[in-house]
Amino acid sequence: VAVQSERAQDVEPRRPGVLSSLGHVPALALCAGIGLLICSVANSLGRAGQQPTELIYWAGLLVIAVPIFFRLASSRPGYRERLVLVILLGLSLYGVKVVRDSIFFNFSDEFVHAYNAQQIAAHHHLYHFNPVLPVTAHFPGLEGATSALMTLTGMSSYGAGILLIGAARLTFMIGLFLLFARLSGSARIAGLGAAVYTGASNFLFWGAQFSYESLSLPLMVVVLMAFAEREAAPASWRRSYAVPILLGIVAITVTHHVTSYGVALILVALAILYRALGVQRPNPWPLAVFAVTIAVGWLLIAARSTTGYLGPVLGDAITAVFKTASGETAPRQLFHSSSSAALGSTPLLARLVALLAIALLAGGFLLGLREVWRRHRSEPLVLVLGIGAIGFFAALGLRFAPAAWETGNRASEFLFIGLAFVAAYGALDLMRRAATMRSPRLGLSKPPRPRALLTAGLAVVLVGGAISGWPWDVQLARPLRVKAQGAMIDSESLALAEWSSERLPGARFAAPEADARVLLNPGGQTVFAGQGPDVEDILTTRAFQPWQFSVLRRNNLRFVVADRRKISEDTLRGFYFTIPGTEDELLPKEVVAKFSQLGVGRPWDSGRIVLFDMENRR
Amino acid sequence: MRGHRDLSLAVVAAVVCGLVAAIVPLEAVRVVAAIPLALWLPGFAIVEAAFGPRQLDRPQFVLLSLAMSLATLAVAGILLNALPGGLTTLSWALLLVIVVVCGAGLAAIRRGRRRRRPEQPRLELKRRDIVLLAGAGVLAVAAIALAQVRFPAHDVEGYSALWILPSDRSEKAVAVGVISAEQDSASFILTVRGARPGPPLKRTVRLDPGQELSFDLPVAARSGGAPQKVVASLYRASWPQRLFRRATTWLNGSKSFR
Repeated sequence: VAVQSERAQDVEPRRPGVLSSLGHVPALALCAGIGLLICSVANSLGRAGQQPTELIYWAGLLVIAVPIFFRLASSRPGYRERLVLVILLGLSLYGVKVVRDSIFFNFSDEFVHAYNAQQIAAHHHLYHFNPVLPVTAHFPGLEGATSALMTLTGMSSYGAGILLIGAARLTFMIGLFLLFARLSGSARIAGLGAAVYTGASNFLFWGAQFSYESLSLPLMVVVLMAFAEREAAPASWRRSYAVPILLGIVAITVTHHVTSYGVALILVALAILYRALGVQRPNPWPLAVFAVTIAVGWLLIAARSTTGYLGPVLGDAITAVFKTASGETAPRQLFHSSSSAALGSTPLLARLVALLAIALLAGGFLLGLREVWRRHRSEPLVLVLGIGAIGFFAALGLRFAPAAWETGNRASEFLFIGLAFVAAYGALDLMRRAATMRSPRLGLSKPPRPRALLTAGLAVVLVGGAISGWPWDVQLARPLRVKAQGAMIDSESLALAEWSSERLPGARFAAPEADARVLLNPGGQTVFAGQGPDVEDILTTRAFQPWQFSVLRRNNLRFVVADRRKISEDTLRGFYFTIPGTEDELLPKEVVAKFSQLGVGRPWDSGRIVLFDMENRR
Repeated sequence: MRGHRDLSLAVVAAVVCGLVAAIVPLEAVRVVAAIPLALWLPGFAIVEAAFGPRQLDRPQFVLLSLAMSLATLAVAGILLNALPGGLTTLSWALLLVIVVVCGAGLAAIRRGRRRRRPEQPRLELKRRDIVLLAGAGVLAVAAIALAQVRFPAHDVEGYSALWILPSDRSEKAVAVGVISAEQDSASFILTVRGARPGPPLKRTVRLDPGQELSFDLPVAARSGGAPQKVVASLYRASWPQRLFRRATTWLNGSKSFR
């Protein structure tokens, strides 16, 4: 079929019946392997409490990516080589996340989803209450799929989750490449676009974690890709493409709220653009109606609590934007963690790299937008991506508003798809200009090497994205379980979680945020943290007040975890071993002593963490 | 499905993988069977059924097969949840096999007579390429294996934990335990008072890192229902005057929390 074979323009000629050899892929795969090993060494040093220089880790990351960027920047590779390179890049960078967090999930949301998966596997049914993030139980797509792998293989939620997210990451990279290739008609643009996307601030860690968005976003890209292919295919193929589109939309809807609303929004926008532009192909309004209906239906029938979860987040974000804009509140300091004031901030050089990455993206965007408009202004899906690219820079502004930065950060994952597509055009345009650039005044007697420049730019974008997407001090692994005299010892939080799992199965706890995460998984306990109910104040006030007992009793929280470490409220850092001299600030003694004065049982004491049994008393 | 070798193979593979995943107890074997059953075959069958006689190019086919498998897993959980047995090994295996069989059957019908698959291009690898790819694979495995290894961390601060719980509901004994997560072997003095009349139980224990000492201590018969406090105290042998850890439990204590 013509439409299937006309694909990319820049496919190198090859002998019939023989797939062009993998080109430079084997050599680049070896580089990626070396880079991954370097990253793993850096993380192992981090896990051993050595606090190694981050340079090792960044070097590893660059060893993985730079050779691939350099090859993708070339005009020589064929379609398939570019596709394989994009896959290699995506999976190698996923490997960087995997070697950071082996044995246990370490990211704040991962504990929550792993708990859900564990509950499904244990009880054989969905929708088990999750005390830390209740809304997640109503979007069981990821955890249901994980429980399938868990029950079919006997693997833990960690093993099954790593596999599943790996498959999702593979899907994402292929989907992004095929989407860009179809829309641009160029494998080179597709490869560069996918390479640019790795510089999205959430690509390296956040988007690779065991969380519902890590599955729903790849499915969204597949839906968009199938839509683009459907539009390019002969009319007789359209019904066939409807199957993956519809199944994809349903899967997204039961997996992640925001992505399902995003897909619905995109399809509605497409329906409007088709009408406005007078596109000759059939208007996709039936798909839009389907996506909206199923998203609203799921919200009303199965996931009503979503409004209570998303509403305040978005409301606070909007309020924060107005307050910051009007000068009522000070702008948020960039590269600064709100959860731990005592943390070392991002080094100046790293900040500069992150800002340079944004500047390069802005440059690529400006150059690319003109080209995209010139070539594709009658193509609705490309226009939607262009709007997304513009939206990315608007969302950057949210990072200055204290309560809105998280919304901006999360939105960037979606909007960056459009930016990557547009910036890929900009990158190619830049290469063309650089190739002809001669300026004796600037000392350029020869034109600069455009491939090297583009590769350097992509490397800055990748590193800059990683810096702005994840706090500097937790880019590397930290000690959670270490070896001492040949035996394994666990951090205090983890030891309590494992002990309680064995000795107090099915108990209910009130705990600081970080301890709550490990009590949830691997502890498997029902644990409340934060402010709904107000556990945080119960655990941090110096004197016990009657209302606190009421809160504990009302929520049947028999066990209270009193943790003197200030860091215990930090969901990224609070469950590791303490390294003397770093983040070891303590709360006042009274915070723990107030429970002792109640005369209640004290079943566990590990020094900084003391467990109280509110039901066991005189 | 005669004449459609790929579909027949998919059905056979699904049935075999389903049986292995449901019956074989060895995790490694089940993983090998479950991965294609969960992450490839359902999507393959759905895509084949959807496109029937139409031939997608290889990358798009791989992508859609993988993505539709993921989508099937996400959606099938909702369906299985509505069934009485819920999401069990058997129900998952059965459902996935049914999806593959139905998808392949529909694909065969839609394809009609024997479809001649166009010859797929062969991949030509030189010896050098194979060596490089094998090297890459070894390095990746080494990186992941290294991440599983736990190393000594001399800079982190060790600790020890003391715990106490009634050993059962009848509260005729208390379970007491000491866990050492210190960097080096350490000696402790453990005392437990309140479990029996007379002087407190006193033990000197030496624990290596990662070692746990736990024991059940019978409790003397109590008169009436008065609450009885049992206190376990832990001292470092090198500093016996200073209390290091304390754990307590009340026998016959109030249970009025709820």
